[in-house]
Amino acid sequence: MDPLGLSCKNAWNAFQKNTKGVFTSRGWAARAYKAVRGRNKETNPFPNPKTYLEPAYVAEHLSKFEGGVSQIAWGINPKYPEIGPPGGHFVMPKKVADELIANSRGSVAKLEHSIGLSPGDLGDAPIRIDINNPEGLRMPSGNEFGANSYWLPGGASGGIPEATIEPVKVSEAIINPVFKK
Amino acid sequence: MEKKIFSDYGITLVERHGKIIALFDSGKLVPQYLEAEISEEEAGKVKNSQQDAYEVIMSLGSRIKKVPREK
Repeated sequence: MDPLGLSCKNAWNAFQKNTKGVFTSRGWAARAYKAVRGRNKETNPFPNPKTYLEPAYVAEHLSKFEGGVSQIAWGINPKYPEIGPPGGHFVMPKKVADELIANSRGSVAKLEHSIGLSPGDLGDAPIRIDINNPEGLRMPSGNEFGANSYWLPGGASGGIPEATIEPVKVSEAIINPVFKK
Repeated sequence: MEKKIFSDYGITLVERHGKIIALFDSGKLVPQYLEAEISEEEAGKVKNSQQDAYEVIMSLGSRIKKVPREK
């Protein structure tokens, strides 16, 4: 018997482990698992997360982004007038960026580690990109150009809450050094 | 020399040495700058809508190159 259609126990167990805290019941987790299992953004796109995530979870998750969203980067390339590719891009809550930066206590290496980057990824003078009024704030679907093959539902990457927004003009973002000298 | 020929939907098209180059970022939480040479047909599609632009960048595969940091 396989009432939930969870034919591969290892994958199902890994899914539950890696989405801990996202679902309030095994039934909701199973619904999401079945919705995304075997999908990939290139040939078999993921469904809208609203079809398999609990509405209360979506509302609570997106409320974390009230007050603005942020990205952290090594710098800005002036040849690129927009932030984010077509189809939406990943952002973290501004409050989370504040915490990550405060906890790194002026160390680029600590900041890179806390975001799950490799040493040197942020260069020696990283910037933060703040967007106060993002357009199209939504749960990531897994179909974003920036979503990797390990993407899972729930809106978190390495413990950092993430959402997706529409591309933003650089001129509409607030860009500052991460560490003020 | 580069000449900008289009910019919207999160993608910028420039003409570089007679080729059309699409500029866009990785869209990750910590973004990287990327570029890819595209055809005139793909450039035309990019201009239609964000969905069309998305479909073009999703089809680029190994043509996508990371752009080195500028000092």
